[in-house]
Amino acid sequence: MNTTTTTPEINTSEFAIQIEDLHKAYGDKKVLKGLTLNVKKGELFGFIGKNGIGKSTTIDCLIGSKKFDKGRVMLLDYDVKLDPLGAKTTFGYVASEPNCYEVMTGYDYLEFIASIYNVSEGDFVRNYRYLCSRLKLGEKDLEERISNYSHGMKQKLCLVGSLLYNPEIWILDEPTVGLDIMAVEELKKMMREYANHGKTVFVTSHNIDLVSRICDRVCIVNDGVVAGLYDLNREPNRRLQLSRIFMHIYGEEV
Amino acid sequence: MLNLIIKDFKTMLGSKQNLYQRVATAIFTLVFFCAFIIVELFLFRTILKQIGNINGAKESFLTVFLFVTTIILTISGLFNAKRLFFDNKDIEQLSYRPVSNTQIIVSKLAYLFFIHCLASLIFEYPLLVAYGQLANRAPIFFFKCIFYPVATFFFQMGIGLMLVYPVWLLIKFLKKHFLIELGFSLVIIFGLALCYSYVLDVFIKLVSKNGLVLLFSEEAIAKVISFRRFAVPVNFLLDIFVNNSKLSFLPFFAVSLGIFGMGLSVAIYAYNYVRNISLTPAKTHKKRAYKPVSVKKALIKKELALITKNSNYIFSFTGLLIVQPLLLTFVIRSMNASLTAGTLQYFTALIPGLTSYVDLLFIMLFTVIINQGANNYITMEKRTIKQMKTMPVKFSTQLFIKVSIPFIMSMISLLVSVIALMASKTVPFTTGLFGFIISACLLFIFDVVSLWEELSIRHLRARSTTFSSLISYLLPFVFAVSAIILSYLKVPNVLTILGGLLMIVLVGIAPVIVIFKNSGKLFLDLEAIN
Repeated sequence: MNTTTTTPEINTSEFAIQIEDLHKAYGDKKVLKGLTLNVKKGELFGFIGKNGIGKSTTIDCLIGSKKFDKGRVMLLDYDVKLDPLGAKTTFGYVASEPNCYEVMTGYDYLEFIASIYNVSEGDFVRNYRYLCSRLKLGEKDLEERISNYSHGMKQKLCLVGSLLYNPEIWILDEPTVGLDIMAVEELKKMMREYANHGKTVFVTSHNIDLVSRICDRVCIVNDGVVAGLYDLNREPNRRLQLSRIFMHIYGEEV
Repeated sequence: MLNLIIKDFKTMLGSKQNLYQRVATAIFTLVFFCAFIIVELFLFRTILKQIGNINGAKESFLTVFLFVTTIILTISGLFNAKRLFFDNKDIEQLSYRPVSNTQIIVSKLAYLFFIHCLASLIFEYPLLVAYGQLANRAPIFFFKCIFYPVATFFFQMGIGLMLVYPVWLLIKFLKKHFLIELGFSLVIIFGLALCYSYVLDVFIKLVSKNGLVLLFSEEAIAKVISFRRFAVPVNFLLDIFVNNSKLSFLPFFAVSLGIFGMGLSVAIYAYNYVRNISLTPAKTHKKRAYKPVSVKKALIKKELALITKNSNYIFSFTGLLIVQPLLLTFVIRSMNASLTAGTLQYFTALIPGLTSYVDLLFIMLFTVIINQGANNYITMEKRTIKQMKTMPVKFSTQLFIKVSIPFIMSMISLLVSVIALMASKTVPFTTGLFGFIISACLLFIFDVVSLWEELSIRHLRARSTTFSSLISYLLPFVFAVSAIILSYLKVPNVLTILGGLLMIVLVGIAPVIVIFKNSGKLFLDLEAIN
């Protein structure tokens, strides 16, 4: 089995996300050991790996939620360490577990997000109506307190909130957890469309099928570094083999 | 079945704390219980010694005391039952497990029985023992009274179980209507404050010798004796336990079982009903218009929502803030009365500033302890801490707003309290003014230290409150004791207070500098609840 590991060159005009020699440890446990990765603008990028391998830690370093020990992370032209506030204006983030303010109503929450990102009244109304209709989140639902929402509804609200201000990069960490089949299908379409509009989508998922079907490129991470990077558009046969490649990288029998 | 009971114990007692915190909690709980029992026994024994010669008075006062504890234990049992029977997560977890409804209900009743007996032994048995000692009862009486908690369980828990479903419905209703909930909470807190001030007043009168005669006039004692026949079920129980009346036993037992049966039927019906309904309330639809606000305003709105729209904070913070002026006036008035009358008069004459310093101590304690109800700045965010970390707003701005909201609310309440104290002439102008200044400084330092503790939470552990507790409890006491000593040494009051203020500022300056320098780093290192 051929697994290709690449170390792309840095070109600020071409890439939306640049991760260079990223190191992160929790005490003695080294999770990231020099991860290097570039994600192109307008790309739908899949970031996969087995449990506890450092996918969420990588995302936490990307979004500025955790500090890293060594390396450099760039989001568009912003260095996450040197200009964290600038970097945070570039992305919308969806966590695997919904993280919205449960004492608020759905509408209040979206209003809060819109205010934080200075969304104009016109954009707010247009965006939230469009996104809610895509994800089947009704106006009545938005008037209700989030604490009364089901897990799936909370996740849908987080998805709407993450796109409300039309970010250049959409980062999703296991976004399909708790969503029904229709919502997962809609989300797949939305990710694809977002990338088609020139925006960048960075998604982690345990669902290999989802990643192999929609992503332009996929990275498999192992032992804190990139173990495999595949361009699924150039090598379409990889889409069908992704599950086998994944197993092979982790030394499992296929 | 045993596993279910253990699960209920773990759920109710909470198992997230580490060993150090569990030991600390256990010590605090023990100290609290000991203090409560000492005060309770002091009051009871003092009264019984005073009215011991009057026929039937001892038994009547025992009835009154046990009647009060019965009400408290019934309410406590009711809320324990509510938490046990209507915990959404518990209902969800048990709904698909291979356990029958009977097993679930019996395990919950076993838990309630154990807790009731324990509470009754802690709060009621000492009263019976004290009565037995003063009334020279035979040793068999003390042994027999060990079964008093068992005898009270069926009646009290029966009442509790009967009310558990209506109370659950009421709370559910209140949670949906914020203003009604706030009003309801205020009425309850106001009622509790009045009860507290009344008990404190009685206590103060007991401490001062002249007050005792006033409190226990013949007329008052006659009223207590006549009250006995209305104190159901304690009067029946005391007939059985104190007067050895066998005639009362069977009717009481039958009535208790009947009430328990009715309560149990209500609880089982409600439990089955709640298990099978959607806990999501009906939806309401209102048209809204988007009002874009500035980032700072949005953050302030969010913080206000976190504090005022969470029912947990209504009882522990917002409600208490509203009644703080009233509560403080009651307490300080009672304290001043005790210091200017009876045996304590001697000390007041010896130490000129004693009353002022005790007043200052209470103003400080009330301010910080009430503020403690809302200074879990990071913990209250739970998962949304990630929102804080990813939004393009400076950490320092977010933290500043986070601390400012409860601080400003506490400051407003403190100001109103001090004005109320001065207007009602409970404290002189200088005490009120210095009380405000010192409490404001203490509150500021307390909030900064609490923020530092919150930001130091690591690896999903609970927050360590050692430093904030030292600030909130120890510092006011150190100030008061030092001031009293200085006053005894005839140091002018103004100098003493300024010295105390300086001490508070000096103690608090280090954490303030640390927090202002390292807030960003501490915030990023924070890995709690992520």
